[in-house]
Amino acid sequence: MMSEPSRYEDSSKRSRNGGAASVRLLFLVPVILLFAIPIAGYFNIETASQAMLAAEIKNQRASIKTLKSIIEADASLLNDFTYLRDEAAPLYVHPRQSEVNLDGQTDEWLLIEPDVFAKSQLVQLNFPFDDNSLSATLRLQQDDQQIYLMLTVKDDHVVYREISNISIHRNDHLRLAMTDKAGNFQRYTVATEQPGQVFGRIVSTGGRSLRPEPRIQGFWRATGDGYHIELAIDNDLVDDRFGFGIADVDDSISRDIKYMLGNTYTDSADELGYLIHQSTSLTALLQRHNLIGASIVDRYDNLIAITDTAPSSSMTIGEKVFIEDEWVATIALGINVSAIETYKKMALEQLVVISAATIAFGLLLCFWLSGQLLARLKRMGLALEGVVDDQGRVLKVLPDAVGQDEISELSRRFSSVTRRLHQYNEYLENLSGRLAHELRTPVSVVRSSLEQLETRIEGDDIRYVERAKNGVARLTNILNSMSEAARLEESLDKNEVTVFELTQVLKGCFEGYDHAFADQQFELSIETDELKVTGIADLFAQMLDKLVDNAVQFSSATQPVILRLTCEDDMAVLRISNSGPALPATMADQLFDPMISVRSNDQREDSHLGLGLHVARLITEFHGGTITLSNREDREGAVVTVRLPLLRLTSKLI
Amino acid sequence: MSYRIAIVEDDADLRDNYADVFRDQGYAIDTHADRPSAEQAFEAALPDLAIIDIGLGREPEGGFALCQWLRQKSRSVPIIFLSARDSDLDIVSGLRMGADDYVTKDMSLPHLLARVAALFRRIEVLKTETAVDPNKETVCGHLRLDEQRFTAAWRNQRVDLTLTEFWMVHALTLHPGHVKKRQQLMQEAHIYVDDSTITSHIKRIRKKFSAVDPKFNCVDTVYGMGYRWTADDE
Repeated sequence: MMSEPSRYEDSSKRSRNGGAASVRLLFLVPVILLFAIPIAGYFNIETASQAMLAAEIKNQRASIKTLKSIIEADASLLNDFTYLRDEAAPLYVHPRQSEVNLDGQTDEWLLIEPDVFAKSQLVQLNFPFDDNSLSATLRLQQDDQQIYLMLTVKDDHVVYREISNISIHRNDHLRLAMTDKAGNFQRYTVATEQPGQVFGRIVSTGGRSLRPEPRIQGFWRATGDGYHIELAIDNDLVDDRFGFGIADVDDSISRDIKYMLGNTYTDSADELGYLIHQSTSLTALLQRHNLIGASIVDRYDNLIAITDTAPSSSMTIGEKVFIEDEWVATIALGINVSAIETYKKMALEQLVVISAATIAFGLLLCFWLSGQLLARLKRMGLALEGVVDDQGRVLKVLPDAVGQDEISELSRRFSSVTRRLHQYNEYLENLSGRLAHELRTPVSVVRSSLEQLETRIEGDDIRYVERAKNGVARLTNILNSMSEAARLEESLDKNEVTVFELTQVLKGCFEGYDHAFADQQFELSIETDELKVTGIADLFAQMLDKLVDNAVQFSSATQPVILRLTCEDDMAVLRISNSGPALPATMADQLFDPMISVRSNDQREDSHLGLGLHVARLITEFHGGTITLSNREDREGAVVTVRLPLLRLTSKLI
Repeated sequence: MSYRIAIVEDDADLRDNYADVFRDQGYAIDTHADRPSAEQAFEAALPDLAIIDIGLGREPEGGFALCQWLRQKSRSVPIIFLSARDSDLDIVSGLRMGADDYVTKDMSLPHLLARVAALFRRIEVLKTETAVDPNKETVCGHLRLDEQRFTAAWRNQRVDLTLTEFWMVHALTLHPGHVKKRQQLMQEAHIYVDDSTITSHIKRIRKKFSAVDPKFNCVDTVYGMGYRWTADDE
């Protein structure tokens, strides 16, 4: 029971250290929930864009299906599209993209992917093939009038035609073979004595060159590792069958053709390869359907038809078109992923901004709210702190809080609790005085009656009256000490405060103690002569009486009671120590409360009520000092320490 | 003729006890339980001495009111406050209202009787104007104590002391320079109170002498022991 107060103190300290942080953390919990907003938002955007993509795909697929059924139903749409058998070697003719300048330079051709011709495209081999000896690339474009050809040849030895030589085939040359619109097969050769402008020459079935063909003209340009030939051929000369061969002559003396690279053998119409053009009717079809990013490719991935806008995104869907169960082409449609991506990006940006703002605001709000709450709780805690002192006395009543919320309500409850405690405290403090007062009259009745009785009783019976009177006398003693504290509080009158010399009062009292307690030895040591304090000397003497009386009671008679007066840190410090039993550890603070005593029963002969130390504390506190009770360091007794503030030097001068 | 004493006390047992004791001593006793009945009786005839309790029935300060009322009616009737209340404040208020003495209920009956007898003796002596009997007079420096009339004079000026105060001064001056313990003072003054009440009695004694002679400083406090009368040098 006795250790309760210190336990409460500990727990209150613990909560002071850890409380604020944990409440703050609690407030952060709802803020954490705010982080769900961006996460949910992100998934939402993901789902939405997926749905958009799916819808787009579905939409485009429907368009493709429509297109496919149109094409499959109307074969005439494929009239200008040569869909090829496997064995045929097709050459793809790009629509003309820009003005072609016949100068042998490749600048206007760079956007076109060339077909590469090397060892595997040899059509004639008279000597063992050397990889470095010959290779070529071919690019084709076509507009309304002409078909353009760009041939780049890498040749380690370029052998030009000799002017004197009749044959045009005993040097490096280009052979062309094609059928015109009417279906006539014709072969041509392009050769030159030197780089520059060139024409095609019609070659007879026997292989002789006849006259030049002005509708095939171009430019032969020599390069560091071979030559370029850029040609323009009138559309009249070409339908959709086309063959070419690059004949390589490396020995300018023998002038034998070593080998020939090309797409097909060129001697007969049947063996010619095919030219693949973009189909105008299919392109028109795509445009008619207003399809953006749509294209049709043949089975070799050559572009047959395309809308103006090339598919802008990397994602395409395709559908194969079949004619008589044969796969002829594939319709491809671009999916406008970028629109979805753009939407996604914007949505994400918005999400980030909104989430960041919300979270920031939420954090601020929580900090503000928790700050408000904590500040109020702290204020309340501070207010509470001063309400009860170390000994558990209620010093003042907590002021009533204004406000409607729970904290104000809590504060009011505290206030009401402390008020009730305060009242109860006051009641307890006054109890002994009031009790003494109330008991006084009945005790007087008993005593006066006994006194009357005394005069009327004769003989031995008088001793009972004597005993009763003794009892009443002791009762009166008790009542006096009970009301002493109350009387003392009245006599603590600030008006009677004077400056007095502590050492003198102590010396005077000390002399008296030698008389008063004949059986007890005393020792007095005063270190400083001048210790002026403000207060009431009589009260100080009264306090001293109580403390010395106490010390004597507990002291073993053989050991002296030691009074020591020193000056420490502007405080007069009086220590009264006695040998004797050590104090019970748990009661050190409570001994100053009224009615608390550690006397054993045989020490109680003098009707002690444990009010002595209480009176001493009242007097010490009146003088602005403190009083503590502790065990002597050797634990062979107890020491009371009284600290009184000294008169200030300044006021001493006045 | 026997003196008539009025006892105003609300506790019936105590009142009857006191009445019996005084009757045994040959006094005529009137008892009253509260202020109105006491006032009514005093209206008809004044007593020779009034012993009044402060708290009377429902009136916690009824005794004070009665004392004031009685003082207005008569300047000379001796009044003794007999109360359970022993605080300085009550004693001071009681004496200021013109009471001749203030004793607590702790006082034993013989002491009370002695006190009452002393008061009557004072009245008698004053009435007969007999010459001061030198045997009944204590002289200590400038102080003269008349043990017959219970009056004190300092440098031939009268100092108005209550009986308690008179007896205390008397005890101090019996052996000037010797320390009287509080306990001894109590015995001599026939009162039984605690230390702090003695202190306040001493304070009042000093004040009364100082009123006559501002330089008075013969009552000396010996801290931790008690008080002593220091004989003036002259």
